[in-house]
Amino acid sequence: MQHYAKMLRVARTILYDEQESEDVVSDIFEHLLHKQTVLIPDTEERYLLTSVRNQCFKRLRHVSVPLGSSSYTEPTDNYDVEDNRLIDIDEFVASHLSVQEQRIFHLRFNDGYSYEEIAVDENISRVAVWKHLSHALNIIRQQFKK
Amino acid sequence: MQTPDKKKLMFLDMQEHPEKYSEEQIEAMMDELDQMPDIGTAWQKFEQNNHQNASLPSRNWWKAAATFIGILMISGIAFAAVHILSPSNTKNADNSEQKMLTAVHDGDAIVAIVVNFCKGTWIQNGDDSYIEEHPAYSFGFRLKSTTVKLDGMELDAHMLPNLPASALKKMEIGRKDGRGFANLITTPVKIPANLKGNINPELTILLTSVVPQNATARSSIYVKRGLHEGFDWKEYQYTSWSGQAENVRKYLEEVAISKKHHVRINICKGVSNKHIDRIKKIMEECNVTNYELIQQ
Repeated sequence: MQHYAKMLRVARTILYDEQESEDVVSDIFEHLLHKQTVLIPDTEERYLLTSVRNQCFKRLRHVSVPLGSSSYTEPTDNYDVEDNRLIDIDEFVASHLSVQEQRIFHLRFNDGYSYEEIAVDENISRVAVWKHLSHALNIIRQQFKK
Repeated sequence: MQTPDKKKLMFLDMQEHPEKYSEEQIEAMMDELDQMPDIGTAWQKFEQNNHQNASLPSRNWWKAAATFIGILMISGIAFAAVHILSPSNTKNADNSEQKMLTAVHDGDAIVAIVVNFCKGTWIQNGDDSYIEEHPAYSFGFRLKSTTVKLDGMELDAHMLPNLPASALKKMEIGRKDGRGFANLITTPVKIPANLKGNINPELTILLTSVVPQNATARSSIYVKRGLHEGFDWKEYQYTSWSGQAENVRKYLEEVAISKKHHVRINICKGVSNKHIDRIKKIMEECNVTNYELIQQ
């Protein structure tokens, strides 16, 4: 349950579309089950949240009409063919974001923290968390829509 | 959460130009994004959408995954990973009231057997032989790739004997002729005097003042089993202060099981008192009494 909630939280932050967010999470579960993938308890959450993050950015790349329309091109959903650019997200984050933004990005997308939890951890306001995360997402979106 | 296009536009605009919005508007947006999902509704939707889809795995599996009630997904990958190490819950007093054997279903078929056992069980895993020290532990064995025997007799997964977890005295795990095996022994065994436990009671924690930029997983807290003097984060492994998946408490709670535990905390130059106080508090909460703080 806690994984599901966090996965949805991560997807919403990137896509802001409840249906699409639920689809991403369901797709990941389906994929895991079809493959009967091992999830090692200590790392399962990070694996799941990273999968959500990557699938969301992947979807963004397939959005042909990003604003004001619900039409978009379906992603391939071929998990076996990894998009190299997704693998590069961490490198991109490390080279383009400030140290604090990197931390906030990882707390949100790797640890699935709520805005409140990040604010407490970083000792800043929730609105400041929003601004840092927004800046991070903006430049990542630009990069992955290229 | 309703997502009309207008609202989606506002969400994107709020990210691109947060300065245009009041704090109240941003707070409201964050509340919406962080609201808890209704798992029951999500499950119903999934069931409705996929009722006719024969290619999907059984519903029980998905439901188990979606709700994550003790997720157990077993793969046919290398045998080393087939037995899923499931630290049931180190906070539990013990496992003795639990059933030793549980079948894992995928629809009507039984695909795996989970073996629960208690502290003190002798585990012989290939060349690795040790006494289990965790209060409760479980291994899962996929039947497609592993033969599970109880006191020399192959188990019928449809008729598992009703034994308590405390009945297991020894478990031998290995691989023979290309197939995995797990021999469960409930008769008394003589444990060699020199056999050690599987918890290393010594642990080193590293606190860094600056989050390393070039680390794969960035943090200001790292760990390494055993006692070490180094202050370079590269020599340690990633952990976090409060993450769900990876958390320093996991190591400390394990170490605290041993009365002879010893934790060394290496503090790099520039670490704030706030972080030092925080680690001391965590030590107390995890019942780690024997620790030392070493300043760089």
